Amino acid sequence: MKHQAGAALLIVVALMGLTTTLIMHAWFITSLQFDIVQQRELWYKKFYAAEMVLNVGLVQVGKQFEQFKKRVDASKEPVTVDLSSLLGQDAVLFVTALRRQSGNSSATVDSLQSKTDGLIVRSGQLQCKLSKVERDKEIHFVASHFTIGAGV
Amino acid sequence: MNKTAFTLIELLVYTVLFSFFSLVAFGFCNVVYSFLSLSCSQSSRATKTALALDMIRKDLMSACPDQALWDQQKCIFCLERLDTFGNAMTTSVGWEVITNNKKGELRRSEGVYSFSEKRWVKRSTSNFGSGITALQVKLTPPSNESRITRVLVTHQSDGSECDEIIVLRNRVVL
Repeated sequence: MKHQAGAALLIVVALMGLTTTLIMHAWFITSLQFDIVQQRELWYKKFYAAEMVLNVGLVQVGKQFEQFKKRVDASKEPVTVDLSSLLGQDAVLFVTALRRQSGNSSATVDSLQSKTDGLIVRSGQLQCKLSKVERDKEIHFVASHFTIGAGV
Repeated sequence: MNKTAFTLIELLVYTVLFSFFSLVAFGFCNVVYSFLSLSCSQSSRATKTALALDMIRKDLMSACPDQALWDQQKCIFCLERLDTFGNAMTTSVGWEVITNNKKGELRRSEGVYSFSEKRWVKRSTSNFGSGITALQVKLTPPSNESRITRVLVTHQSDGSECDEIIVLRNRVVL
């Protein structure tokens, strides 16, 4: 009877070991997958939140473009714009001057934006250049060089 | 007579039962393992496709809206970005599916592209494993404008075709 009990125990241990290995392997793989899915979801949430602030900010900065340009030129630090009252949540925008334009493409740069000075508007890790351009005797504000930072 | 020993019939019955239960157990394990590996590989492929599309999406968001700086057939476009120091940079980026690979591999090219001669002057490439087997880009500018506002991306993966509209972030604000 002792031999039978020993053999049964061995089978149970072997099967349990095998099942545990399989489950742990599946857990490892699925946790990696879920981690990527979760991180992507988090990234997109932050991205759309920052983009909403940037879009609202671009309109606000565009409406007072000259004032912002003067303030940015006078200050060495980025000008902070608080949009919290407008959006009803913590929303801060940073406005700085564009340093210089250095194209390295053989293609022609868009003629609308090639001879204009611009401001850099940043919300979180999203930033873009806002330029004032004249087209068909009308003043337009063009957002270009939209850049997504590493973290968002 | 020794009562603790087994008879031949007992041993035979034990062997047959042991073999039967072993077969059932290993068969079950095999089925579970096949199911797990299949679902893992499918999930992994779906994740790879999603990550590859994320990269395409990011590039297209920063694409230049000027239609002259697009090669729609080859999915090559001009990219306008700011570097970490706030300098404006312009490069050309192209996405293509490597067709001789059945699994679907994407190649991203970045460098200098001549849109008039429709050829790369200088480029560096990087390949990404993904489930995407076909990729197509269609520009949708407004009827009276030469500036593109959105792009329709059609991609094929695992035999199914998906469309996605990506709005260009480089645009006229006011």
